[in-house]
Amino acid sequence: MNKRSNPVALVLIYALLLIAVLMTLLPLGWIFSTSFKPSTEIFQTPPRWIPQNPTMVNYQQVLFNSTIPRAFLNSLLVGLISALLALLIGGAAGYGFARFRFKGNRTLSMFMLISQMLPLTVLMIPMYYMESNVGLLDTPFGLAVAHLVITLPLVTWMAKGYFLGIPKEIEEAASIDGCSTLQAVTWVVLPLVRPALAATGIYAFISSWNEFTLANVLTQSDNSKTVPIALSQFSTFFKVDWGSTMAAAAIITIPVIVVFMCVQKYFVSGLVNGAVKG
Amino acid sequence: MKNRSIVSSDARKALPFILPGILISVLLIIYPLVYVIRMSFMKNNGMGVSGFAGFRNYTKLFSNPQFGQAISNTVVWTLSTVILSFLFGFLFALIIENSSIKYKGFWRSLIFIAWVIPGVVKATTWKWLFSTEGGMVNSLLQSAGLIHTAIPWLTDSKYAMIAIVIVQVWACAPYVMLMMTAGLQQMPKDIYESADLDGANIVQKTLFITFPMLQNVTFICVLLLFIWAINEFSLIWIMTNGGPGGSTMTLSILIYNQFKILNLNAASASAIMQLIISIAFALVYVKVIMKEEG
Repeated sequence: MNKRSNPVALVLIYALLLIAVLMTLLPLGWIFSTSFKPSTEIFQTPPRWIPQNPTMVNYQQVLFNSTIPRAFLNSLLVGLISALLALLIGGAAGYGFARFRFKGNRTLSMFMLISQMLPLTVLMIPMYYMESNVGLLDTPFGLAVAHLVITLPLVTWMAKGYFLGIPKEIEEAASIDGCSTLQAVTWVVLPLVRPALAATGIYAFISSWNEFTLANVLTQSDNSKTVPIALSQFSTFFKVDWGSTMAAAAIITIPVIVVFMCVQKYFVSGLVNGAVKG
Repeated sequence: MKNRSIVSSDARKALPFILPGILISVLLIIYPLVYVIRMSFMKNNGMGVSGFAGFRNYTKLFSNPQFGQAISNTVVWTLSTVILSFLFGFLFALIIENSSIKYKGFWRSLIFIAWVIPGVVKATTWKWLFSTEGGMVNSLLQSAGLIHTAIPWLTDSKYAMIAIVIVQVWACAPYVMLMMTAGLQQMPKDIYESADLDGANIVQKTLFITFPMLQNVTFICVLLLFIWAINEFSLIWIMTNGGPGGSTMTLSILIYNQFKILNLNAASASAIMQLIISIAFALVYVKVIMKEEG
């Protein structure tokens, strides 16, 4: 396409972009702005972006006097278990789907794809009863297992894509050199896809970290409540303390954004590959 | 094509890799689905199953005005969020990719941040932005002279749907931008060059080259938007609880409400309705993806 646009059009484009970026970043800015405001400034009209007397009191409240720190640990635990299990089981399945031709391969891959789109509001009902029957209700492990519904199809599908990108000849060469299948996978293939798999694991972790619908039903006490649930309970009171609510929101969001920035390259190409190239 | 003997030995080799995944999927996906389907055909008093109900749960659900309201809300919510997210996302993909601006990746990442923020944080923050007491949205509109008194965005049934649609579009448009950018980048550049030689202008190029070539990505993108909109729960639940007066009660919210009061007859029948709708969209999606994959 013609890259020499005229200057008027270019100014217009920058203006539009600026609006889009502001639209994206202003809510984020509003989180931080509110989180540093003392309670006297929060309902001030007109609202100010920069607090007049910035304070850490909201963060202190969240860190030392709320359910957030415990929920943070729960979320870490749930996310780690779910992502690791998904990597182990889904990574192997992805390899199986990518490397071997067998009857039902296509159907099973399709199933993996469809199960990523099942409404969690449907699954939450049976899962509540299943977990309550086996005593997993209201435990971090129970929620981590439930989150496999999201993370397992995701990892399987993405891993399949990565393994398809590794030429089969590399493995064949390894087996000529006397490697078993498992050895070839462990020493030759895995190192090649390790960064991509790591990014997928992080994506799975973030999916679990952000998940609300299942956690809302499967966790009740502070022992298993994850950060989305803890945060949502901040704002359900009649008179919401927006200062500490936004401080909590910041604490939850910062790790996600930092992680995203670090793995952006894989993250973005993974997202696109998941759908555009299949 | 490989020969037949390899096919069967391949199946044996594949089994140890895929079996754990299959078992887990059966346990966590197939079994729960069967469970809830069975539930929808049983009489249930909240304490346990008390007999076979046939289609009675369904007929009762269909005659419940709340169900009709939930369906029409879901249609409004889904169509408006899908169309608007796509238009905005595509617009910015086109603007960034096909113009001569600098630092394209940087602009894209900035816009994409909205997608990464946890859903609950999005919902909570926008609840605060839309608040009538100290909320930024009203304050901005007032200082721009567009409104005189604060609009009760989330507590007036006239505005609640508009408010949650805005948030969903804000959240989903960046994803559309990313997908459509990928689509635009995969297009061969020489097509535009030959169109330039034939004297095509930018509108013609967009209409007759860009759009047709992006058909598949567009289709996939729109289907995903549909599925997300139909399945969305946390955003609506946190911002409005489905209210006021049921004005934002979509099918997801209805299922949750019924489940919460242990009306399992209604909850399971509504759940099956939602399952049918989202699987219909998912099947079309999968068909397209598989065709792309070959």
